[in-house]
Amino acid sequence: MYFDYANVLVFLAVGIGFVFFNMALGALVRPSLPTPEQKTPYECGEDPIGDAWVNFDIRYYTVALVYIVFGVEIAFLFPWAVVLKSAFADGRIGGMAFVEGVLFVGVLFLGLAYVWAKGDLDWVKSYSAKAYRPSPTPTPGFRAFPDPAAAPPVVTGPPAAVESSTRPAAPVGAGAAPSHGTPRS
Amino acid sequence: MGLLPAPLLAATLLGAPLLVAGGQQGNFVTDLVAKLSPVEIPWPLLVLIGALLGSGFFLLLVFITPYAMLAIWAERKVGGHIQCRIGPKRVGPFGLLQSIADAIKLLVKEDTIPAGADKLLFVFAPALVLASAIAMFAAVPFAPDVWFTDLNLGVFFIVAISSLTTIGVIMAGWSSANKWSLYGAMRMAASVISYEVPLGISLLVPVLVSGTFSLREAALAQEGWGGAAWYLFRDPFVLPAFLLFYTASLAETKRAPFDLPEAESELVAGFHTEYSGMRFSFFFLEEYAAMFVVSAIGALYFLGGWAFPGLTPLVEHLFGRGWIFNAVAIGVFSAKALFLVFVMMWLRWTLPRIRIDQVMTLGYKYLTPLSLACLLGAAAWELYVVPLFGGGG
Amino acid sequence: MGLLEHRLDENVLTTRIDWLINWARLSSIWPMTFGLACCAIEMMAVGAAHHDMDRFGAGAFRATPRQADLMIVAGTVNFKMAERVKRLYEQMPSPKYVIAMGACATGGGPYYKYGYNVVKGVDRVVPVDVYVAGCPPRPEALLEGLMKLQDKIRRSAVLRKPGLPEGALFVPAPS
Ligand code: SF4
Repeated sequence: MYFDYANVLVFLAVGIGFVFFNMALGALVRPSLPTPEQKTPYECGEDPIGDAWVNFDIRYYTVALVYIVFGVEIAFLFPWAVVLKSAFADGRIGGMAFVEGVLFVGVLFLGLAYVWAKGDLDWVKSYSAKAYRPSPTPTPGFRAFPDPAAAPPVVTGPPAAVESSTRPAAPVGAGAAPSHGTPRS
Repeated sequence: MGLLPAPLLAATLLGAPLLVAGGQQGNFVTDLVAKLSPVEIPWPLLVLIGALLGSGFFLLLVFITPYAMLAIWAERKVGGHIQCRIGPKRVGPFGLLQSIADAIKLLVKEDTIPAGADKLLFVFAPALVLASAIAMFAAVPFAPDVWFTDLNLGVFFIVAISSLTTIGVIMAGWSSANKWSLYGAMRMAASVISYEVPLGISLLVPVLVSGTFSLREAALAQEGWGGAAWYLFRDPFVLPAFLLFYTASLAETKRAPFDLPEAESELVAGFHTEYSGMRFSFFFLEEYAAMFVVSAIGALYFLGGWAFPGLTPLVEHLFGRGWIFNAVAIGVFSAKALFLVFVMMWLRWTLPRIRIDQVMTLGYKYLTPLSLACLLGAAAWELYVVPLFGGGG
Repeated sequence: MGLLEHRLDENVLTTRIDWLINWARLSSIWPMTFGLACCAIEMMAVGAAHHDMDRFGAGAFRATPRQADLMIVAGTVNFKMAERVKRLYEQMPSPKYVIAMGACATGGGPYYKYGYNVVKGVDRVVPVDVYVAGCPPRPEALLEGLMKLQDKIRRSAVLRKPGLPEGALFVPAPS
């Protein structure tokens, strides 16, 4: 058994050595004409903006947390799976081992279901109408759009015409809806 | 200064066999060396020679490099034909020398390291990635008597080592000081760790059926005149487990449709955006090596290993289990694994890339529960249904 | 600069190694995914089914300049873009090659007289190896340009000192 692990160590060493050997071999011939421009990080031909080591999205962290649970689960299930059949066949364990396995998986599945229901498995967390409630306290200066207090917009012409790109000219004069963006009052 | 730890590491790793090697059971390389050498070689030295020869010569030069070159050529050829093109054809007969030309070109191409990069990690990332690929290969048996290491952890070891690749990729992405690389590396981390769950669980099904971690013993158990002993046909839960395993392994090896870490249309080249020349080619080599390893696991655990209905039993019947049988076994096993590799290429050129949220959804919401169900189903089948037919082993 | 690059005299060994390296370089010219204007459509046609640049081993379009060997300047280079073209060229690792594809990249093309915003030829920004004429050039013309570039690579010195007589054995007969 030690033979096997020693073997693997040598394989790792040879793998690392192979890389450096090849790099050294290439260094005999390969040109090296570095310029300051060449050393800048590639950002589609633009000058790089800011540091590359940016703060990262929390979602990746959530995924890692969920993984830890399951990674440990697999590590525990592996020995169970290996001995289950032979131990059952020669009567060392009974059906209870299977039931325990089911329970173990069941508990973890419960965890998965919880995470699922909490929406942490969704990569894009959409704020559905149910989840999103605007704050009851209005922010100073906040005006809902379209403004319920303002007069309803006057639309001239058939609705189909509004849909198309040929919009009717905005009505001028009294009763006109406030134009987008620039509040009149 | 960046290279200083390398010789130290190598010395430690190479010295380890001399210190720990116990037991007297070697593999085919040590047997070969012992047989050929005129003088008696002491055992620890034999281990070292065997491992060096096995990894450096047999595995790296005789197997991985030619295979990877052939696979890269095949990838371009398959892709060409799928897109109604011809693919490489001018460089050597049928373009067969294309990969060799690519390799030499990459070898003599300038090696760029960005100014802001973390040089140590940048230099070591490809080495780590390649080393993990080779260590994965070490645990794959090619025939009943042709194997480098027969770890008692077997497939567990391969799954564990394959995560080392992820670490290498994250090192590469982080150290490049490039936003594209960082995005690619983070995506790699996210997708690989989510797919390791279904991958591991679906692998538990054949582990449970065979009752061993050792790929070699599992393959030995599937020999027989027909294909009926293949685990794929054993019970209704192994086939879905195989499909789940294959899907998850596509994500593990960063292949399309899960190739988000190097998605060209979004992330330039993902984690290897800043890698040029030979360093980049090691990532390439690793990708193809990993493809072969997961395909080999699929072939050994699900598709009967080196057993082929009518062929291998016939050879065994005629010639016994000598070197002829082993040679045929290598052929059959490689054919099965290469077929699975071919299917991976086929999928890559056929399917569009899926979005990251779809990747996550597929991994956690579909593959994981399904593989858990497969595992429990297979366990119940093995315990309660197989005895009904009088089977037990 | 490599340890041996351009250091050795001409002899059988160096010419052979040069031949091998040049063969590798010319058989695997990976272009950069990079198009500026209408000519880029023709460049895509070269990569697609009918013309298939991959036959020459040049079909592996790389998205990042770090892994590319060839920059096909396919289209109109205006002053704003010229800066980026230059930077992308600088970011490619040597040996790197440039093909100026079409009249615009060669010398301003249709915008030569009144195009106040157009660089009159990309060779004012980056060194160009091969010019391909046409507006736009036919895909065959770009393939011809690629083969001309291969001829140029075939004649270059790698280990040999530059300026020595080229290994006459390896220069292709003019077609
Ligand atoms: S040369 Fe002609 S086809 Fe090409 S970019 Fe200029 S205008 Fe367009």
